[in-house]
Amino acid sequence: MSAPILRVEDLTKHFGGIHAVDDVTFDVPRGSITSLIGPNGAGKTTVFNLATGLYEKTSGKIWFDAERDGSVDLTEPVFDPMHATVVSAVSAGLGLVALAIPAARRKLYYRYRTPDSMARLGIARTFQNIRLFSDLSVVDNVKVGLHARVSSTALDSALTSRRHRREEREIEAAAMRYLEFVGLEDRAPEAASDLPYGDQRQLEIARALATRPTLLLLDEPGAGMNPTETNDLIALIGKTRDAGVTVFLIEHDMRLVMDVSDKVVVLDHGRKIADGAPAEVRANPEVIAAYLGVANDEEAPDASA
Amino acid sequence: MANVIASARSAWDRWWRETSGKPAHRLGGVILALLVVVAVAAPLLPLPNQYRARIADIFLLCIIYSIIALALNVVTGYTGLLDLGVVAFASIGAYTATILYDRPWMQFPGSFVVVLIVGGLHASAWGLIRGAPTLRLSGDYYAIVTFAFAEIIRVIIRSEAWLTGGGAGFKNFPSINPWGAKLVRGEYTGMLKSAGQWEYPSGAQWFGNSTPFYYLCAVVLVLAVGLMRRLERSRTGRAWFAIKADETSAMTSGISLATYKMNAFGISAFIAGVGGALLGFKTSTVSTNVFDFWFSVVVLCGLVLGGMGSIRGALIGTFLVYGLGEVLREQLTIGSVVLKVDDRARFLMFGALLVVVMVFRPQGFLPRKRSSEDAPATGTGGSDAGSDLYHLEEGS
Repeated sequence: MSAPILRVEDLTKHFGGIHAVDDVTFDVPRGSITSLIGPNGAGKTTVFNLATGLYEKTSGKIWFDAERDGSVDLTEPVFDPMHATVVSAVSAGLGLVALAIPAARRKLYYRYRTPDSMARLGIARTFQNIRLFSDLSVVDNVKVGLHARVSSTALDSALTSRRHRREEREIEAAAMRYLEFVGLEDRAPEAASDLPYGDQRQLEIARALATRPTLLLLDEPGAGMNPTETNDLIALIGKTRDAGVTVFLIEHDMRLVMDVSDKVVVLDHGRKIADGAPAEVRANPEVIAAYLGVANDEEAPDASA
Repeated sequence: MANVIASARSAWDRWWRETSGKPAHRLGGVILALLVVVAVAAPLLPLPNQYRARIADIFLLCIIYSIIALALNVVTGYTGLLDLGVVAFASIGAYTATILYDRPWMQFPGSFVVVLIVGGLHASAWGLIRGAPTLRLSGDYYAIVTFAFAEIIRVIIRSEAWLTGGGAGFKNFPSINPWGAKLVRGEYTGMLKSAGQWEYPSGAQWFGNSTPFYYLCAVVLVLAVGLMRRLERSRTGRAWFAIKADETSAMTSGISLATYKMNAFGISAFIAGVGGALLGFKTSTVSTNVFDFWFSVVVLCGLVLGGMGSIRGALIGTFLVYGLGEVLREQLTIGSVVLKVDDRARFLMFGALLVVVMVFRPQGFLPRKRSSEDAPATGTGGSDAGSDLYHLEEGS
């Protein structure tokens, strides 16, 4: 495996006095399926939220090897021309000369990356509690995922310009193919909320894939699934990786984790306690202690923790 | 001719199929069709003059308020942000159009189009100005800001009497005229008097109640409906629905909240501005007594009754609320008994109506259909057209 697609460096996130993520460092190798595990409250979802721009870090870095922009630190503010324009206009209106000072300008014109810009960089995610657009149809959910890959404006659509018509055709066809990928093409016209639980998880993955990610973050994709659904999910995760998408997932179902993972990272109370191949990690005494509360000679936790 | 019959036939079949098992949608469709027929024919009905004028008047009012309801629907129905201040944009549009229409350099044929559009654009600019700082707000907080903004606009209008006529506003000004406000009226001076009263020229036609004006408003409504239908099925519309359903996953799906909320604010305010301008020209009155808080409330009430986020719902709800409101204005005389509902009691009726609807049909009469069954059917998958966008080649 080549250079890591995601590199988390000394990442820390405090909520008040709580150290949700504490000085965590690990890699997600490109082309791998990497799992992030740990007991409840270990800070796993916080790492995902930091990597998708839903939270701002306390300190540390998250390097992402983006397809177009090369290696970028997701947690650093970036220059935002639109924001800078608004700030300049407002400050000119207020006559604030202080804004001419470079330090102030840097602070005011630079903004943290927004979740939608993360999506455009190539990071897609699903959520622990499924967050579909339940009012929309199944196919429309995937069409929303395709949003950032086409460019029709409201004016295009108002005039049904050539661009609008071409893109709508392409979106329709592509959305159906993403649904085929997860095996939901027959349910395209139904309301998303009418799907059974397992299918809703698959639809969320289809929507995420439609953004054309190079890194897909799955937050407990197997939660609440029955064994058949879990098997489908394992197949889908493998298929996704084979299609060239690196998969980084949070999971409690150890059967799933040990089945699919190339690499496992273990967090406990915000700290990384182990990482490596699944077999290594399951034999690690610290991991066993974290899951079972005491370190002893018993077998590693291979049932769901 | 055979073509027309065939396409009407297939449209009928499709509608019948879609509404099977949905009596409300079927009934709603019939009522809507009847409304459209009557609305088109209203100024030409073979009735005694005073009845025809009154019926046309009521329909004209409903048509104009429907335009404003469609505007509100963009922010509240599609994007899911409760807006209690649509009156701000309607009044900005109305005042802008009225003031502009009196200018000597606005007296050319067709200037009313310019005036309406500029009124809409001005409202739209304020929509963006209100929108920018409120991008992060949602729910109650957003609603409070919209309410406060509308009040600020109202206070500004009341206090800047040199421009807006203050509390009295403008009354009896000449309405839209295809040849420019002053050109057909020799003695009309267009001078703004000190009290904000406009000179009302003797013998001037009150165009606001004329048949051409009626159809002008109907055309604007048709344009607004057409725009909404197209936006609903576009990238922009899907982004709005996604934001309404779940802001977080809309963002992680690559939708910029700022861009699409601003889009909604701008488009909504533009349409509300045009609607407000038409309302001003219709009543020949622009004052803060017309454009007050209750204006927003009643438009919202119609939208809620009809069904949020649905064009048909917005139309039916508005016609219901304003139609009822106007009908209740009438007094009924039976012999020596005069029955008349007090003006303020009309709001009571709206309240009762709202309660009944919320109990029996909380989503409104004609809510937005959830599945995309009315979307144009294209080839279901497998077609090569999408190969540019589909990227998971190795996997399948």
